[in-house]
Amino acid sequence: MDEPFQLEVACLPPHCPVTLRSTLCSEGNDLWESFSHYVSDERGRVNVSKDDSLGGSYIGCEPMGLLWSLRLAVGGRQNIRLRKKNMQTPLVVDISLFDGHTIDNFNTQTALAMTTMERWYMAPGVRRIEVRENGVVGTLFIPPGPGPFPALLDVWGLAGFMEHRAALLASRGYACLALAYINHPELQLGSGMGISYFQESWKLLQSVPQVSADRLGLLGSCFGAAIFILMASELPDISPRCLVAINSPSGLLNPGEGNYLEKLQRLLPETKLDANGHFMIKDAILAFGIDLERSLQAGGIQCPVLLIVGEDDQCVPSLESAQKLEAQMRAVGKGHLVTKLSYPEAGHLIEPPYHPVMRSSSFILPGQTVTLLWGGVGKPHAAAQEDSWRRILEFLDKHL
Amino acid sequence: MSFFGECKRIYSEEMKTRISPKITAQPTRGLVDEKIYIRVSNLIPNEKITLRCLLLSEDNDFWHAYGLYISDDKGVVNVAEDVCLGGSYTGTEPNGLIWSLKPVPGSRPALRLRKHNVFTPFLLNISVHKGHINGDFKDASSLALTVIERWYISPGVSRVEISENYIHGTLFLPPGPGPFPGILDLWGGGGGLVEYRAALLASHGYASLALEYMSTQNTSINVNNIGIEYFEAAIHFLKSHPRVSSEQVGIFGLSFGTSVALNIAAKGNRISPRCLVCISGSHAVKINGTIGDVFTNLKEEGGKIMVDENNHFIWKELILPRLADPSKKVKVGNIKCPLLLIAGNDDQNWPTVDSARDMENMMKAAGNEHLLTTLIYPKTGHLIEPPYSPHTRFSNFISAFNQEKVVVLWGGQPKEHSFAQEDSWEKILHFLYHHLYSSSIGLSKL
Repeated sequence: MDEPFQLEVACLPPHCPVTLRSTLCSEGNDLWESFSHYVSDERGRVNVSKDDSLGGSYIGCEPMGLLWSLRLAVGGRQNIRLRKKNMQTPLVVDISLFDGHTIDNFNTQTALAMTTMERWYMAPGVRRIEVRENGVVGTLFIPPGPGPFPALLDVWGLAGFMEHRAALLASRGYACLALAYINHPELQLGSGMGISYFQESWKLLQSVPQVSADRLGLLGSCFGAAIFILMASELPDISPRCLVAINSPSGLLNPGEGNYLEKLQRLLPETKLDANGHFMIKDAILAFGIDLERSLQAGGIQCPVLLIVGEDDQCVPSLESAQKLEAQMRAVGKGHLVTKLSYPEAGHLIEPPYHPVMRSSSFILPGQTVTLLWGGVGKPHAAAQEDSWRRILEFLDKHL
Repeated sequence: MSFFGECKRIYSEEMKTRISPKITAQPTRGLVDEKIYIRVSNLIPNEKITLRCLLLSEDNDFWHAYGLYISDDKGVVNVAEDVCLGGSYTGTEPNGLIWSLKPVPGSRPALRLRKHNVFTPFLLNISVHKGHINGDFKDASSLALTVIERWYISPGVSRVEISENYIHGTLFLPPGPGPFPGILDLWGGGGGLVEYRAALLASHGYASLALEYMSTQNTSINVNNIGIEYFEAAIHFLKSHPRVSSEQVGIFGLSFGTSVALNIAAKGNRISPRCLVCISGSHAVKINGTIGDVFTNLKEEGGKIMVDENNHFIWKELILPRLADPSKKVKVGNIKCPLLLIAGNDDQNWPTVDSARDMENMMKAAGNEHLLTTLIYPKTGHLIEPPYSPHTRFSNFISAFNQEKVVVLWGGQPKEHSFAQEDSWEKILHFLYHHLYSSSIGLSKL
């Protein structure tokens, strides 16, 4: 899924305007589509890696634009994130070629040509193991071979449990435990939210035979990352070799607050809607006793930290939190451990590369479904996904 | 503690502290004709290692290949650039771990690796082992391992079983509305329905019909009832298929299939192929009556059957005498379409090189030699398959004609034969593209 592809069109007349359209049918049966306008060269060829798109879902030279600019087709459900639940099957993307520069009604036209592409999260040989042990709920992905492998704990934010990044990391050589801690049918409400749950998960990962117990790292997004920062800072028995935090609202958590769910539940009623009906979580967080002064002290972290920030994050105060964290570590002489990658115009949902970019989507909260504004603008956000992933893999390679 | 035990203890202590070697192979999922790139990192600098590729065939045989390497100063082995010092191949061979695959020691004899189900991949386990291992991997545990998939079919290609108007075969269609150029894909005297090459051609954009014309199981296909009209009907079927561009249909043949292709093209009627790819065949096989007649005649006339020191059958001289008799040869001077002729000069099964030379002469005399491109490869045998199929110098053969079970010598040496497969396939794809795609109007290709 994180590999670029090459797409070429041949045997066209010279200087012929054409439209390339990519479509994907998600597991939820929603149609995603993207299209772009090109003109063939004097040899009748179009090379998406080199040529400029003149319009459509993206403009300019975008080798992977047909993937990251995918959005839900008009006429279907809207506002839903692209989520793949089954890691053992690929995302299937069809790419069709149409005559002329078309912007809609693709279904009434005959394509000139078509090809199909499979995008996988799991490389061949990667093993997927569902984990339900000692109360820990998650999925473990192990690379093929005898090991032992460096390992990672992988968590997401309040959206809950997702496996795709852990599957990708295993495909890149890391044993990775995708950890559920909230919003999971097999976790009792709140039981995944205490410090002891994470300590148990850490111990579990260390005990996996194919894992090199002294080469563990933590990788998290959003709220999960904040928990990881807290763990690394406060808990002596958790000693990661490195930590990656993506858009973490680290200011939200204070040490000693054993159950973060209660804090969340206090947060929600305070949240307002903006003019577009988007649920402005970020404002609520900022208003809610941040007090980034009172927030968690990251000074206890002993390992290299990679902070990934989308400056247009509308969900959490990611930039402010990262700056605060960096300052705290500098204050105790550990500033050299921190690397901060800050991407202007990137939003909250910094996913692995080529994921469709969504500025907002619907989100299910206890008792209501709202539209959350994530932030992020098309091309810059896609570029942030691509660059941050490369930097993450380099960082992990170096420290694990 | 014994010396061996001491070594084992040292090994495991070292393993605890060293960072695990990492092996990456690209593409993780690809077509069988794609090059592979294998890289091992996190090794000790200047460390001796053995790379091994292991595969379990659909017939439940293990095939393997291995190469001995030494890591560089950074502890890296890059198979595409580094020199292999021994094993199944030597030298700089990026794809050597695939084309040099052979059955593991102790396997059944005279095997050939072929894929029956194109909808599953070959799974290749590629492992790194400490030290230089001389081929016996029984006690060798690996330092690292990766798995790659090799497919004969790409996503979106559809498979359609054809049994109508007495044609029996499998049609593979590229994704999309078409229309596509078409290819009639013909194999040789082994008979049966062999699909993998047609699936691969469809993955390159050609609607390809793998045709069964000799079957031991399907009684409706009886070689004593089938003549040249059967193949012409297959071409007609392709040409009139809604997803095929009728003006762009060619024939791809190997061995006996080549003879069929030449017979059809020389006939010069309305069934005229757009181009021909003819591998390891001969024009000295004229199809006048049924295919059954043709095979009967093969045995009856002249030519000698020889065996080598292992009692493997050498059939290349069987039809050699015919080359002197114009009445026994297809009139290739009548061919009106481009023809790509491919042969190995160590072919022990058919006199393909002599036939190629004779065809050249005939076409020169008739004035159509500008249509002919001949590729003759040294130390290359009869079974010129798509890359990177393992080279088979001899194997079990059951003739679909008379169910005789013999071991046939095909010929060729692994390295040169594998090069011939790689080089000829590239030229074949180029040839097909040139004659079936780019010279036509209205077909565009993604």
